[in-house]
Amino acid sequence: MKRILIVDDNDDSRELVKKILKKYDYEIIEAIDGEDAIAKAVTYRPDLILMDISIPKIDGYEVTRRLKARPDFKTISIIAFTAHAMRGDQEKAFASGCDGYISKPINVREFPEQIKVYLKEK
Amino acid sequence: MFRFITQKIGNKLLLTFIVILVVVMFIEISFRIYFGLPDRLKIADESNKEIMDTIFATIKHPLTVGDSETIHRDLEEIASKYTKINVYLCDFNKQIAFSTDNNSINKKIDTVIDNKIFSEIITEHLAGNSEASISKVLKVQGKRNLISILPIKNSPECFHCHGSSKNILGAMILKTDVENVYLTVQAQMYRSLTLTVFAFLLAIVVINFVVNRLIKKPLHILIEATERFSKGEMSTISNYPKDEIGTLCETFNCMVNEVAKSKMELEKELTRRARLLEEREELVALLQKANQQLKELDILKSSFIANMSHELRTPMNAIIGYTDLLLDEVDGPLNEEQKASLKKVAANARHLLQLINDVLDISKIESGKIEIRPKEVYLKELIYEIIVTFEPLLTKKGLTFSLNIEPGAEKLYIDEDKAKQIFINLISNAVKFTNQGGITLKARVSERGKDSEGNPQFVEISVSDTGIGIKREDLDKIFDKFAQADVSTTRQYEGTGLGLSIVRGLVALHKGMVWAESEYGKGSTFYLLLPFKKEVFERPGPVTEEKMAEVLAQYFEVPKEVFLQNPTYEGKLVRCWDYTQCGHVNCPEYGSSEKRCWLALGTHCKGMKICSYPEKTDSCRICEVVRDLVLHQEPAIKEVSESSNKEKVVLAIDDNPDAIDLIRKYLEKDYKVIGILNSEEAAKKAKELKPVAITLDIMMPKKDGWQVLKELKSDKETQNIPVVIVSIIDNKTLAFSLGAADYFVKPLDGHSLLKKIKSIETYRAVKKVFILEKDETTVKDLLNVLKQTGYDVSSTSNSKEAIEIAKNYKPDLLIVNITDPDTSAYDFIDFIKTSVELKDIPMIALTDKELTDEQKDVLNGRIKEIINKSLFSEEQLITELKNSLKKIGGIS
Repeated sequence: MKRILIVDDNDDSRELVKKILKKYDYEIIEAIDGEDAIAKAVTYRPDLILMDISIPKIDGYEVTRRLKARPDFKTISIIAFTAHAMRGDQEKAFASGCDGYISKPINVREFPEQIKVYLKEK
Repeated sequence: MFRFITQKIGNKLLLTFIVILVVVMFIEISFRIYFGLPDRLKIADESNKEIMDTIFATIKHPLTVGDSETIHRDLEEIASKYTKINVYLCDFNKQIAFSTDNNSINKKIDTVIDNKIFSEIITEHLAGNSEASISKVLKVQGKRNLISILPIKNSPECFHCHGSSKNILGAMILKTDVENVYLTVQAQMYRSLTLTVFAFLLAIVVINFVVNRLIKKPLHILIEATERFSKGEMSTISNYPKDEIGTLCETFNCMVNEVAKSKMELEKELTRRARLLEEREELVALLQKANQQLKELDILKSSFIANMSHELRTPMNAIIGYTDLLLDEVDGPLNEEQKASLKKVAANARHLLQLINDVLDISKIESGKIEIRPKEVYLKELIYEIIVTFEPLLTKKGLTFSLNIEPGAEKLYIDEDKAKQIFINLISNAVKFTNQGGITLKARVSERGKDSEGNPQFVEISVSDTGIGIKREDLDKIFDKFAQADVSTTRQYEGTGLGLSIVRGLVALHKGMVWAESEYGKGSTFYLLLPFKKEVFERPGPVTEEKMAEVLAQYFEVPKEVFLQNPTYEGKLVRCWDYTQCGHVNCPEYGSSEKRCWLALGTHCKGMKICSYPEKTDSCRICEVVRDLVLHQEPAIKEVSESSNKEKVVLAIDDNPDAIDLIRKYLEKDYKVIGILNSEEAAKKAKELKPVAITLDIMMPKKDGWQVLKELKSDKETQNIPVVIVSIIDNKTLAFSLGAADYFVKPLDGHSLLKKIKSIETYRAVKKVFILEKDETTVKDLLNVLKQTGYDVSSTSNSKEAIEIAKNYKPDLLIVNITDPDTSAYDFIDFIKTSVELKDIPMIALTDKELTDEQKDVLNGRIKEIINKSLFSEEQLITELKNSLKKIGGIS
């Protein structure tokens, strides 16, 4: 079973993702801030991390950078998952080490497919 | 002397008069002498002759008869009558027979009249060689006498006594004393001379008086007035004569009045100008301040936009997501009515999202936050890509779509994403407002916007529809925000009303333009100019278009070449000419009469926006702003020097990333600025980074600046780092009482900040540390700590080796354990202090026990800091050492 870590400080956002992915066979782990995200990521070693950028304590870019600095996280997909849709946000995400980018609001119908693709890629 | 004469007009006149007088007198005297004397002598001569004739007539008879008595009597009579006259009658033997002077009788005539010339003449006469009587002035006994000789001829009545053989019997000689004639003439000459001298003196006095009175005095008044005038006194002359000098004075008065008048006017004008200048300076200062505030506001605005974007999209995520999930019946089946309602929710949510996106887009365009990345794009492929998404709608409405791209217009040089947004907006509008017929997209090389050599640079693309069309009066408004042609259409045709505004902004970013033509009820055509030449974006700093250069040159009163060739004005780099056309059909670049500035969009002057969007501003006002704000800024050409200073870190604590960005921009030449958004991390970061200075915002969420400052100042590690407050609120008293180094109220003056940081930052970099320590654990700990902190470290446990190493290694800091069993460490210290190269290196001494006074004396002045290891735990020791390092580093 693939393990997905959802990092988002907005409860509704996390719930929504969980609900969309409910019928698929994933193990979902949640983190609510940057520190939590690093701790959970290191503990659970998920296959995919959906990383919101604007999160408390340590921001998503920094979390990604720190995780990607570890050799054991090189192969784990970190997908920027953010409502920041300004030009440059995407580039910043990739620059910090993200492997993909899904902007909010998400498209409910396409979202599972996107997740599937990112999981398969690695 | 001559100067005395030549410098004064009176003296000159006087001299002239004297010369004339002298000449006249000289002539007069000459005449008197030349003509006066002969005249008088002639008179004397004539009277002599008369007397002689008279005497002769009187004595002729007695002479003939030999009546001596009568002759004597006659002569006595004459002698008594003419005292000055002596008459002598002599015979041919020169013997005086008769005379008025009885003493001379019987004497020889030439002994009586003792004169050589006379004796010659009388000899001649008596010899009978000359019969004519003669007169001559001769000197006798030192006196001038007129001597007349009348020979007495032989005549028949004398024959009876003298016979007829002799012609001359004797002579009558008349001697007249004429000395007094000469004396008279001389006296007259002296009189004349006296007169001359007198006249001379009189002339001097009179002329002097006249000159003084008539010329000198008025002239002097005039001169004085002129001198006063030259000193700036505007006084006129009141008393002046009515002659030529008077006229001169009058003229002078007129001049003074005129000058005074114009001087007054000039002064008035000067005051006026000074006031204007002041006002202008005030205005400039005001504008600069306003500009600064605008910049700050701009930063606030852009961060607001970014936040808005995030904050609005986050709830939209949940709304749209959950609605779609419900519609997908994830939580169980829905009835049709529920489904229909939910679909409405979903559609409206999407519309709201579109609105949010559009508003954000327009905000970004307006604030100049959008950058475009143009590249070569094939128009056909781009349109096909877009039209695919419209196909279902086109099919549903039964509309056709045709594409017609002329040769030369196939390839564009544009930003693909932005171009897509442009075409999606235009095509969706066309589809939205068209119910039958179709949509046509045409592209051809445009005649507009050619480069300086006349080569086309733009492609004209038209999107035509057969829809409802736009009323003529609405055509101009449709590109404005929230302006659908007819308010009622908003209801009928869903839309944000921002689409065309965004199109115009995006087209303008491409330096192109957009306009519309329409026939109400029959359809509309939207025209676009988009570049196909890369050069459109590569416009250099200066203006390359003649027309614009002309306008600017005219405004700045410089030749247009300034703007065509050289991007500087008065030595300052002018960057604002990197302009675009405003993208409006009435842009003057294309010959419209409407004044709408084409400088507007994307016009940045040294990073400052003049106007962010093609507003209705006329060019003049913008140029004015350019002049005041841009041209008055300091030279833009700055040397970018990569120095070791870059290593110096300034920690900027501000919850606003853009404020940090601004500080970074101000300081980046000299410092590496590391920003912290989260104030809770500030103290930690400060310890970690050891910045040379910290800038601190006050109004921050979670932990405000005051708390951060307190924290920084209460921690030993950070209390020495100077903290500069940069805040919108002004509470210097509190800041300084808490230990702030300085206080800047936003809007921030970058220059002052940089200057302040430089002045409080006296950090001298310690990079290389050398350790002399025998205890291995201490060395290990020190090495760890120091290397981690970024120092280059070398160590030894042997004092003798230490000297060699220190010489080669050239450390910036020495750490020496001085509690050696032997005194070799002291030897090392002594060596260092006597070495020319090494004596200035600061030293930290480590000891294991309290030093004796003697030891302290030895070390005094050589050691910066003494740390007693035995007093501290390992951790404390490191902290203590770090503090010492910092102190030595020079932080005040």
